[in-house]
Amino acid sequence: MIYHQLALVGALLAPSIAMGQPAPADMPVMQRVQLAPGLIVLSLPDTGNGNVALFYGPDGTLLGDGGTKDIDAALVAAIAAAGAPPPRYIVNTHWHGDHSGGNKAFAERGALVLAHDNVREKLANAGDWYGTPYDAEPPAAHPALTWTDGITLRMNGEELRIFHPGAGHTAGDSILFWPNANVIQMGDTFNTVGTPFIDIRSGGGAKGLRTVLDHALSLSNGATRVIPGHGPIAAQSDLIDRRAMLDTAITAVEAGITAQRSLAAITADRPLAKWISADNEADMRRFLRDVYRSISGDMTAS
Amino acid sequence: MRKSRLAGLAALSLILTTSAAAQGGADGIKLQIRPVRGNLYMIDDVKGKDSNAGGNVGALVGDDGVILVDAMVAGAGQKIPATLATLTDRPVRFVINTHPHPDHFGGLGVFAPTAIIIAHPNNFRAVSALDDATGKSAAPKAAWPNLLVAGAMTLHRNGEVVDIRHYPRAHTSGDLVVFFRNANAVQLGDTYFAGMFPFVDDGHYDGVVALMEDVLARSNADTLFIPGHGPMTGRAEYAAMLAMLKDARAAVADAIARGATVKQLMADARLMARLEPWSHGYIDTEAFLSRLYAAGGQA
Repeated sequence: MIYHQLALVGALLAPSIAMGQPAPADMPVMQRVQLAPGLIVLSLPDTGNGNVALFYGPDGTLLGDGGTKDIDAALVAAIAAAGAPPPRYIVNTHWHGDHSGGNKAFAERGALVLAHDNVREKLANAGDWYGTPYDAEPPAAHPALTWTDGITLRMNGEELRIFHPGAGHTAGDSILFWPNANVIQMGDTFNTVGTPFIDIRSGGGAKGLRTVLDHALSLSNGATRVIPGHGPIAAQSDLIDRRAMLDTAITAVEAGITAQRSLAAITADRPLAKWISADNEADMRRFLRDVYRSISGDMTAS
Repeated sequence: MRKSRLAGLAALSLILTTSAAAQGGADGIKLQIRPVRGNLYMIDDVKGKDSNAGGNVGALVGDDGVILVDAMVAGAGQKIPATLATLTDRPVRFVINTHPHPDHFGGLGVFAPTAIIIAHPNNFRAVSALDDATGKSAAPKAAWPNLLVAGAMTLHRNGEVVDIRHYPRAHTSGDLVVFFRNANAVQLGDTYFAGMFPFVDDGHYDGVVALMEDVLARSNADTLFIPGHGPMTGRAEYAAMLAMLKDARAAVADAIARGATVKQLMADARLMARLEPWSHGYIDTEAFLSRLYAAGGQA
């Protein structure tokens, strides 16, 4: 399933920008993949909603991301179907509405919203996202507990590490690591559909993204399951491949900038040929452009 | 040693005792509430200096539930809910534990069923480690912290912004300091004994100085300083403590550089007179200088 970047951009819109939403009557049923006892990935492929990690047990339920605000009924139904109690915690991997949209509804039902400091900063204030203005989210949607570097939650027999390795996809990225289950949730620092998206306007950067991938790799082994922000479950080998692609792009762009060559000239070298197919050529060109913009600071380069 | 500096003598002596001592009964403990500012309060025992209730407790109250800082010894902790009930009918949602000493964590079990217990990872290691001799941990499992923070985090609750920061190697290796931005108050755990020589367990005086300098830089003239033991103070008292500590460390560093022994250092009558007002039942001036000397003076 190829997810073109423009489709993804639609899904990534700030949370206050409404998306087309299914009526409760035709409420979709979320797909579920069980990764360990008490750890399930819930998803609605092709809808733009981020993957949701459902982690539950005697100490309560934690959601890793919560999709858009439009899938509340489907998510509540999926949680109940798993036999999990209503969430006590909802963690945001970053501020985009396809991951943080569930905050308000779950907070109003008693959950505590947890995220990096930057997520609160973004959700609590109005702003402009690549020319599209958006409003501040209502207070209930703001994370009530935030971190600079990270926290560890001891619950359900795990020491769940939630931490911010760097500003990759956005300035407020966090990844989640369940050591016993050997599972990493990446948010949009790693997707298995589409090309990587570096949200430079939200403080993301190519080198920060490489740092995030390096941290994830340092936690992983051959048996690790990786929950991407969007798309099917992946493995350590997929992280290694993505890291190689990103590093190749960074190296090519840095060498090009040093040699005072243009983005067009760097692109013409086809440094990412190994990862380019007929399906993704335009998206990969955009990806290389974003790496260039991120490193050069020139947001007009194209 | 001035008797008036005995503040917290009984409580301080608990620091080095086992958790068994911290299970001590609540006999004679009568808690009181002292307003700090806004919706922030401090709870201590009416006996103050002579109390064996444990360290000062901070309580931020509001519609989102109570945020406590520390929970006294076990027996005193059991009395905290009734004391809080005079302020609020909301449950305790968070307890921040400033460091892993039983006069601050002993009462955590009272709140563990409903509250998230926040501490530094080294605090968790200290209270959960099994003692070789007894096979028991310092705190019962149900009272172990469940949210660990190694750096900095923030709670946005009750209209307040509560910044929780770790400072490496100060009073212990697992200290947290809690800043209440709107109330303009800071709760320092046992990195601050009001008017008394600081005590270092598995931390270091270098870390205490670095912590105090950073806290002072984050404060202003109206900031209120809640110590681990003793009365709340203003900024001047806190700055005076840091000045005293730097003075004493400079004298010790000078003695070490000259090749003087700690005994020879203690012959400096003017130094001894300057330090004597900070003396207390647990650490008198000679003990303080001996500790500084052993720690190597100025880093």
